[in-house]
Amino acid sequence: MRDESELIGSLVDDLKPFKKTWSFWVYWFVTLIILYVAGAILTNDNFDFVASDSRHAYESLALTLVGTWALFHAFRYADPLTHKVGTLARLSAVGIGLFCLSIYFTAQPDFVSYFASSSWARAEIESMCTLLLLGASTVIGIWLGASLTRLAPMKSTFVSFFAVVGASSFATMFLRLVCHASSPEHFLLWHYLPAVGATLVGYIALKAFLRSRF
Amino acid sequence: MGGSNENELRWKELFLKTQKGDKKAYNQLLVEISRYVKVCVRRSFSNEQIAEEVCQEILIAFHKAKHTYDPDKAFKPWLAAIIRFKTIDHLRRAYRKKEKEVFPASDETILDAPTNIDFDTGIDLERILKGLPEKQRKAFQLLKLKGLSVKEAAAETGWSESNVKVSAHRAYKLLRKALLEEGI
Repeated sequence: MRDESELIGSLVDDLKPFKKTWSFWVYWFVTLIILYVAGAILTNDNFDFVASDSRHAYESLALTLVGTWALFHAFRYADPLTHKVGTLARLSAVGIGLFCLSIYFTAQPDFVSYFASSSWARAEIESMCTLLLLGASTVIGIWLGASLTRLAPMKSTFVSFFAVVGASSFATMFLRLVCHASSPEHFLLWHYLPAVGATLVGYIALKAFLRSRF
Repeated sequence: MGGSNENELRWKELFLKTQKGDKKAYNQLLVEISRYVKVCVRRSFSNEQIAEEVCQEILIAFHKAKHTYDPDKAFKPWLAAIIRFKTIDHLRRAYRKKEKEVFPASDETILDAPTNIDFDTGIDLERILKGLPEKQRKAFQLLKLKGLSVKEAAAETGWSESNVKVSAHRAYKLLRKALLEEGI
């Protein structure tokens, strides 16, 4: 442990010009640009907004809303003065997301009997989906981690949680635009399950990183 | 109240100068807020050394987070938030460390206990050991006389490792007291 005057001296010496931090919407916009531009370059012909049907559109919209909501909260909690974010705003955003998802699922004809009789052979095994998802989550996760360190993320638990939920949501949304499979079993096994795994791993990694920085 | 408002205004002014790169203002600000930080931290930590450590952590966190301060907001609540988070972080680390340790780190552990008992002084160690409670005697004999590790002693006795450590530590304290009474 250093002498206090020595510490103060070293902090004063370390004083650098202040960098203005961007608004949250700039980070959000750049995140989407990374997804779309990188996605288009990497996946080439597969990246197509219009090849999907209306269910895909609803799902992508729901995932975008959830991702935006999560990202917004991650950046809000990176401010030391934020005690709690408006409950009403949170519930509203989550509600809209869930509503869109429910539209997607209910658009399936005979939803209950469909899943009751579903065969996992229809899962259309495709490891490329998982690899793309993990790659996209990692890239966005690193971008968000670097962005958050420009702020003061002392509430590392909250910040990490919301950041990784946002990253996974955007990555899953991106994958939805690329993957043209149709079976719900495929989405559950190769999209959502890896997304949950990536979220858990990303949460642990990001929390440790933010704690080490602050 | 007046003093508190004066501090708020002065610190805010110093901080705005700091944002423009004024090192002198920054130095003055750090010196002044460090006094305030110490007062806040000493409410949570009675140990002088730990309080000093936490104060330094807070100053470093303040330094890292200073660019996030919004000049339109009050300065003291922002600083108070940083103090609160770093204090909680330190307490959390201390509790986690305490769960792993059997007894406070400032006490001597049985593993650090000297084994340089001089048998040539004629100390009747056997008699002294007989005066100990059975559990503590056994722990001491296994660790110090037989030279087993804590793990091995736990395996032999069927006790937990923390149980072995606690018993041996208590034995060591009683032995020390007994040896002092014997004039050693």
